[in-house]
Amino acid sequence: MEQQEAKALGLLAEYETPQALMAAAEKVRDGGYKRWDTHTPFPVHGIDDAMGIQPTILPWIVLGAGATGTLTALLLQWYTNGVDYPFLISGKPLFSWVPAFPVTFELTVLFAGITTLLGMLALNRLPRLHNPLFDVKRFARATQDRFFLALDATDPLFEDSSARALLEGSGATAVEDVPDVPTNENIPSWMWQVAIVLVFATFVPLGLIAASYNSTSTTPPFHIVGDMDWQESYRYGEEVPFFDNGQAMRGALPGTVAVGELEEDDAFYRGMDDMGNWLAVAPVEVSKSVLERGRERYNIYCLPCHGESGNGKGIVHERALALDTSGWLIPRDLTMDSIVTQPDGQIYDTITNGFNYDAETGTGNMAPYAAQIRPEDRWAIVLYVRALQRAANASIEDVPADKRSAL
Amino acid sequence: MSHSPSISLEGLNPEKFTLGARAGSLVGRFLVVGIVGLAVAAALGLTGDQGDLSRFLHAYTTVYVYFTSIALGALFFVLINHVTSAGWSVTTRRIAELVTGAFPLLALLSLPLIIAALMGTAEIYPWANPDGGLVPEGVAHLVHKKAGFLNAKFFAARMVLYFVIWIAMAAWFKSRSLAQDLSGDPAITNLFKKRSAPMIPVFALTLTFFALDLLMSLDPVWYSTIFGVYYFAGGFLCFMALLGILAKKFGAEDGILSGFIRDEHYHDIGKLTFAFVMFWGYIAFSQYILIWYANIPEETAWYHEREGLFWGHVGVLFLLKFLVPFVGLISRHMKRHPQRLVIFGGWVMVMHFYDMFFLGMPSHLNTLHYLEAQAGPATEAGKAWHHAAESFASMPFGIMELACLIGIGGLFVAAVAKSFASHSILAVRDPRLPESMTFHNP
Repeated sequence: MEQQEAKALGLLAEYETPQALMAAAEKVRDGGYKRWDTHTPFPVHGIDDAMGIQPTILPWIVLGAGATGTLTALLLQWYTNGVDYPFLISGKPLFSWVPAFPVTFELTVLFAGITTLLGMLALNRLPRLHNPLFDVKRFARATQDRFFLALDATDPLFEDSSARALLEGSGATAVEDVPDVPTNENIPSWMWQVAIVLVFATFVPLGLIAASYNSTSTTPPFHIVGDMDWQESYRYGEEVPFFDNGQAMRGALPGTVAVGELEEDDAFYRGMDDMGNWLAVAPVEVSKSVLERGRERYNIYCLPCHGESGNGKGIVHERALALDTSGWLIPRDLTMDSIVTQPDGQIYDTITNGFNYDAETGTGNMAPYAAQIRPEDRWAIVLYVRALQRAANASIEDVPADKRSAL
Repeated sequence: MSHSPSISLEGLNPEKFTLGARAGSLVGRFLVVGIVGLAVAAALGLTGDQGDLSRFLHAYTTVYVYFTSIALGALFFVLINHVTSAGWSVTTRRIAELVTGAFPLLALLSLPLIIAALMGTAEIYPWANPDGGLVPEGVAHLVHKKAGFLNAKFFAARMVLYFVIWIAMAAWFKSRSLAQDLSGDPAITNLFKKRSAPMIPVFALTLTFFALDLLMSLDPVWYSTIFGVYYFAGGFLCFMALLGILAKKFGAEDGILSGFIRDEHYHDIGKLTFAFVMFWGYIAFSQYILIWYANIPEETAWYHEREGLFWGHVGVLFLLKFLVPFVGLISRHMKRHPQRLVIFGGWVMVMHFYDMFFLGMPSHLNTLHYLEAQAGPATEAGKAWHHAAESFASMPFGIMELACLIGIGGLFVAAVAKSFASHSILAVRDPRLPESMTFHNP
C-alpha cells in the first residue's frame, strides 16, 4: 500500500452531480491549488469560474492569425496582379480594394479558424495518446454519469494527506489514487510506417503535375469542371432572339454616352475648328518621340499601299499591278502638291473616315482607319506624312551646311 | 446551480416594472417637439423656394424609413426569439414588444407619402406621373412597363396592407405577452412559438416590398434584388444597438431591471449587434461588388450619383458603419461592458441614419437636375433649379432635414414612451424567465 502511494501521480475524486463537483472545485480553487482539472460528461456552465480559470490568450493568437491572413491576402493580390504579372481584366484597375475584399475576408477567416483549432489543441496539450487517469477504472464513467476532479501530485501545494482530506470533505463519493502504471508512450511503429507512406503518396500528384508541365501533348486538356471552358454566354457578334435588335452585345442607351467617351473636342477628334474648317496645324505637340510613333504606325498601317517614302508605290500596289487586277485603284502619292497643300485636319479626316469610301458597299479608294488607329496616333501619322513630304520635296538648302559635302 | 439568482422570481408584480410617470412625462414633451418639428418642415416644404417640396418629401422619407426600420427590427427580434425558443432574451424581450407599439403612429405618418403618390408628385415618385418628365428620356418606356406595379393606387393599397399586417402582428404579441404577465400560462409561449414561424416569411415579404416601394422606387429604373435584405440588415442592426442602450438604461444599478439584465445579456446583445454589423457589411458589399464588376450603365448610375457628390465614396460608409463597429465590438470584453456597448450602439444608430440618408437624399439632387434639364439650362427657371441643386449639394443636411428628424423622431419617442409608461417592461411570468436569469455564455 505504501509502495503504491509513493508512486501515485495524483488523486481522483468522484462526484454524483455537477453541483457537487462545482462546490468541490470552488474549495480546491480556494485552497490555492494550480495543477488540477475536472472531467464531466457534458459542458457544465460556470465551471470555469468555480475552477478559477483565467481567460485564455487564445483570442490574441487568433487575432494575430486573422491579421496575418488579411495582410497575406492583400499582399498576394497586390503583388501577383498589380506588380509581378499585370493582367487587365474587364478594364478594371490592376489592384482595387473592391475585388480584393472577398479573398481578403476568406483568408482572414481561414487563418483565424485554423489557428483557433490548432491553438486550442496546443494550449490544451492535445492530442495526447495516453492519460494516466485511464488507468483508474471508475474514470470510464466520466463519459456517462459521473463527475471527476483530478489533483496532480506535481502541484507545489500537493501533500497527500491534506489533499485527500480536502477532497473527502468536499462531498466526493470516492477518492482514489491515480497509479503510475508504466506505459509505452511511443507511437506504434505501424503508425510511423503508414505516415511515411502517406507523406510519399502526397508527392505523386505533384510529380504528375510536374511531368505534364514539362511535356507536350496533342490530346485536349482534361476538364474536371468544365463550366469555365464551356460557358453559356453569347460571343460578340452572335445573334440572339432575346433583344429586339437580335444582338447579343448591348449598346449604349439612346441619348447616353459612357463616362470618358464624350469626345467633345472637335479639334482633336475631328480635325476641325469651331467653324467647321479644317485645322491648318495638328493640335498636338511636335516632338521626336511623336514622330517616331508616327513612323511606326505609318509603317504598320500606311506603308503597304503608300510605300515607305509615301510615293504611292507600296508592296500591295506593286503586287496588284503584277497580278493585273482590274479595278485596282492606284494609291495616292502622298508627297504630291495637292496633298502637301492640304491642311493637317483634312489628312487626319482621311485617315479617320477613308477616301471616296462607301460604307454601305464597303468599296472605295481607301477604307477608314478610325477603328484601328487611336486619335493621337492618327495625328502622329499626319506629322510623319508631313516629314515624308518635306523629304521628298527637299533641296540641298535643307541639309545643314556642314553635312552637304557628304552627299 | 451555484449562481442562483439573488432575486426571487415568485410572485413578481407587473406593477413594479411599469415605468409610469417616469416615461409618461416624456410623452407630452416629445409630442409637442415632434409636432413643431414636422410643422416647420411642412411649412418650409409647401411654401418655400423652388425645390423645397422635393427636399421636404425626400427628407421626410429618409427619416421615416429610419424610424420604421427600428420598429421593424423590434418586431423581428420578437419573432426570431419565439421561433428559436430563446431563453436568454426573456428579460429584454418586452422592451422590443413595447417598441413595436410605434407602428400605429408610423402608419399615420405614412399618409403624406401616400397622398404625394396619389397626387402624382413626380418630384419624389417619378413613376407616380410617368409623363412628368422626371425620368430620363431613353428609359421612359421602362417606367411605363412597370406601371402595373408602380402606380399610385396600388402603392397606397400596399402601404395600407403592410401596416395592417405589422400592427396586427405587434398587437397580438404584445397583448398575449401582457396577458401572460397575469396568468403565467405556458400555453401562450407555445402558441408564440407556433405562430411566429409562419409570420416570418410574411414579415420578410412585407418588409422587402416596403423598402422597394419607399426607397428603391425613388429611382424607378434602378433595381437591386438584394435591396430588401439591405434594409432589413440595417434596421435590425439599429434595433439591436437601441436595445443595448435601453438595456443599459434599465439594467444599471439604479435601473428598474437591475439584476434582471446581467452581463450575459449585454454579451448576447453585443454578439447580435456585432453579427449584424457583419451581415449589413456583407449585404452592402455584395450589392456593391456586383454592380462595380458588371459596370452596366443603368446600375452604376445609382452609385455614381451617390459617390460623385457630397458623399465622397461609398467606402466611407463601409468604413464608418462596418469597419469601426466591427473592430470595436470584436472583443468579448467590449460586448460585456455596458458602457462601451452603449457607445458603439449610439455610433451604429447614427451610422444607420447616415445609411438611410445615403439611400434617400441623392434622389432629391437627381430631381433638381431633371427639373433643370426639363426647364432648359439656359432659361431663368433652369437657372433657379441649378441654384437649388448647388445649394443643396453644398449643405445636404440643413434645416429641412433637421426639422424632419426632430419631427418624426419626436413623435416616435413619444409613441414608444407612451407604450413604456403603461406596461410592465419585464415579462414577469414568462416560463423561461428563470433560464434568462441564470444562463451563462460559454
